[in-house]
Amino acid sequence: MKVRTSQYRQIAAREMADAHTRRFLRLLPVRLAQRRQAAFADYVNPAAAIRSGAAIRAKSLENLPSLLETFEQNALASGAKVFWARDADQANRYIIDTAKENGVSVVAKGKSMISEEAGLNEALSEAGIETWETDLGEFITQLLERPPFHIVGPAINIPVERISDIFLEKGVIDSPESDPVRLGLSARRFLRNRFRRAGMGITGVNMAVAETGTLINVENEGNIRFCKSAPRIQVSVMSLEKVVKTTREALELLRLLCRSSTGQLMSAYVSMDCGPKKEGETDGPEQLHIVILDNGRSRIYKDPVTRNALQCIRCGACLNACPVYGQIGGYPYGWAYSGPMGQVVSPLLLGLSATRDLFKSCTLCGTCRDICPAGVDHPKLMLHYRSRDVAADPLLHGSGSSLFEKTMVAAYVKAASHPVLWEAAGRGLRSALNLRAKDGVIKGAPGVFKNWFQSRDLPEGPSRSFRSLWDDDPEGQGDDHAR
Amino acid sequence: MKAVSLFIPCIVDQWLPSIGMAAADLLRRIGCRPYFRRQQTCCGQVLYNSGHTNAARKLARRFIVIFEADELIVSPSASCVHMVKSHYPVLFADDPFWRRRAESLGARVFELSEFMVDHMGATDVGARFEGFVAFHESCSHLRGLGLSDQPKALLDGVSGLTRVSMEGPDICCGFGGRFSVDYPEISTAMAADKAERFAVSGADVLILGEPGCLLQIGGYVNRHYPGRRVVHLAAFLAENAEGFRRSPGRKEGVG
Amino acid sequence: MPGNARDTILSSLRRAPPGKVPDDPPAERVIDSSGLVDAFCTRFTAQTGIVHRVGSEREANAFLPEILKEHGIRRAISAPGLPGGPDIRPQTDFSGRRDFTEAIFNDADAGLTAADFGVAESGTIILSFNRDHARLISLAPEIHIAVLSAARIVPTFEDALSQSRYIDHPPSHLVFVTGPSMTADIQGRPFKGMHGPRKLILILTE
Repeated sequence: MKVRTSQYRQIAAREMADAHTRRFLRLLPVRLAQRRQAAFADYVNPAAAIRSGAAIRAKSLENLPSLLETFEQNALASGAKVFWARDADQANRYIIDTAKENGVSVVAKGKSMISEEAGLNEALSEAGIETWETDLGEFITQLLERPPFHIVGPAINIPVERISDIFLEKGVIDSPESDPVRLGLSARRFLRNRFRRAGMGITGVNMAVAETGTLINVENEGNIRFCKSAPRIQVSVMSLEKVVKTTREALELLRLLCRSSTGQLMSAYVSMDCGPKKEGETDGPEQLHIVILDNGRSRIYKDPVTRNALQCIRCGACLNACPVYGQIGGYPYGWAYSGPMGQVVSPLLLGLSATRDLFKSCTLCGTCRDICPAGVDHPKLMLHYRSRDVAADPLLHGSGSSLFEKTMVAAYVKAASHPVLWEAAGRGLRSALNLRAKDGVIKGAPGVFKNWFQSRDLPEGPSRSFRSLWDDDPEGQGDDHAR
Repeated sequence: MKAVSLFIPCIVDQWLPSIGMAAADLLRRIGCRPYFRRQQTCCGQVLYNSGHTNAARKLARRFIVIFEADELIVSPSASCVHMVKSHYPVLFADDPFWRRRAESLGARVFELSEFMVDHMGATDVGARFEGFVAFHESCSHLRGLGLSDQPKALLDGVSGLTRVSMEGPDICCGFGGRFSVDYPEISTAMAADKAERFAVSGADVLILGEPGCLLQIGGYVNRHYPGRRVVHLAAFLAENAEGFRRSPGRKEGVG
Repeated sequence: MPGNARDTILSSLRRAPPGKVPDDPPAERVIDSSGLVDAFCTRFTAQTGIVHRVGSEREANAFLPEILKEHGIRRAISAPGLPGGPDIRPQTDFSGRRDFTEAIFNDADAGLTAADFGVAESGTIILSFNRDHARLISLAPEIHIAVLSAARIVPTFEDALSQSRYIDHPPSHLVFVTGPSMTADIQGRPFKGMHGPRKLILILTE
């Protein structure tokens, strides 16, 4: 997937003016947030439930290397193959090689964000392997070559007319259709054919259970189950932080994931695989390949501060909670990951200098952190990235700050270190801006202030500051009265 | 009488002094004696939030030195209090000496409504207002410091006042410090939504506890909904209390 | 080389300093005061699942043709050991994977399977798969009919775990089914039967 993180501003401006985007942003995140709240009502203490999820994820990460080893051991014992990939290229090549070795020319794919991160579809296509996304939303975005708008509904903002057009073009329908259900059922027919012909099913992994070597996937449509049932080869791509120790912990997280993501107590299908099909079984994969992909995560893991970002379970609740996402939708985030979780993950994977808008365009309101069932502290991470960016951190590819900014900061520190300077600077600012004041209000000012005044007024600056008034106040008593 | 050290945010000192005067007035009404340490200027929040951590640390050390002899420090801004309580320890994570001092100080810093209600048990300052008000819950009050009941209790203590519910009272107004000018279109859209929710709430006045939110929402409302008022909680309580004196040289802006 | 990546990754992870780990215990859920079976049925039907309660397994056998007729099912494929009938072909009828796959995709209006457990906390049925129970039976046809004894309804997933051998003898494939297949991916308009069955029917024996 093409990285467009540096186009955040342009894409955000475009999206804020797009009627479909605006319509769906009024509907979907609000609806999902309400459902989430209702689904959490069956916890005695929803806040405690969220903390328990955070504890499971933190514990899993703390023990990551040994959990991965245990997982691998048990997965191998179950008959699965395990391939460790340092980066996207290695993972993609392994999957392509496996496909070629087994004469696979058609692949059916279940939704997998890490495979989008790795650009797997493009690599498969380049290798001449026909690849079909089978989740309805992913299928549509694949045909339209668009990034996902929302984790739960990647194509939910796209109007039926556009879907009808692309379906017509690609032979999914043979006459225009405006009913969403009929469009969906046409996709069902079309993709059913692909499930039958696919020699390989590729899935992501929601959770990997170390104690049994089991893979867990969560879905509502059933396409992932098809990818695990019809083709003779199954490849499941797992980002290495997805492992948990026990099935019981996985169950706790499943409850939290489903409630947080769509407000369901449990999604329609949760499928668990332990090895390929056993001897004598009729269907299911003859070979199960598990690809454990690093792609920068072991580097992220090394710092306990950034490690926190790896706790994410991709539920998408933060998207629905975020007031910024609620204005701009998923496209401006420019990659496989959007919303607050994208803002904390993409900078670590792509480097800070390529993703500055992602960690700067945030008011630090904290709503995401408060509802995260996996314990990610988004505001803390974003502050960390801002600090590392200013410091031109080499490991995180920070950009440093401009001479102008450095000068302004130094001037501010100087003024703030000397009350006399401070008062003089304040008075100067007030005088300057007050030249534009009328009836107690300033409505515009040139230069750097333009960005404020384009939509907002400012009250006229007072003739005297607080510290000046305090001197005059008959009950003002100066500085020393604690002593 | 309890002596209380005033922690006046930079933005209040230089642009919205009436909020500071109102805070002092309220503290006197509930039996405290406020004093003002003149060396104070800025807690460093704006630098910290933009990643200028070393610069923020300089101002943080300065702040700690100025205030650490005080028993009680009170501010009419939750974001500034949050900076000191939550972020100063992070700033000094690798410096046990300064971190200890920061943590000790943080335990003695309070937001105004929290101090008035939780520490002094005061919810009635003798204010009276016949009308409907809505309350905006700022991010730093609600999610930063866990304060919500306290400012509402102060409003409910105003005789004649009816507090009406507004949709999405806890949704961020879009200020976020530099965010408001670095991402002005998104910030404006968030302010617009907040303003609209206020406009349809049936409230005459929108009350809030955060100076930044006041500039943001008040600034947008003044431009697009002229005549509607957005007021800081401290200013609202003080101006509606009996015997309220307006200090010379004060202006009534959007607050 | 694959080996190198594994070792590099693991040693890199092992060299990392420890972090802070909170100790919060699993969170309590609200106890449902209604009867277990009723709680299960309420949640099952809330996802548009259809429950037919019958007395015994023999009654289920007798009832089955009626159910097929009611839902317009002319041909069904079943996992073995389940009620048979003129319109029901057991999985064992097929000579191999290819035949079976052809039939399950093209010649079946419904798939008939057993369920291991019913889980009341979410109205879920648990299906495990083995040589006697093919995966596509409950997935490819438009209608899935599951047979479950009420004695196998448990309050929580953990209860199902402790009453099963899923951990020490994991099946190759296990699925929690909570309602029919669904999506709302086009303009938020929901519908059932996107890829999996659009109708989920449960025959619940006493």
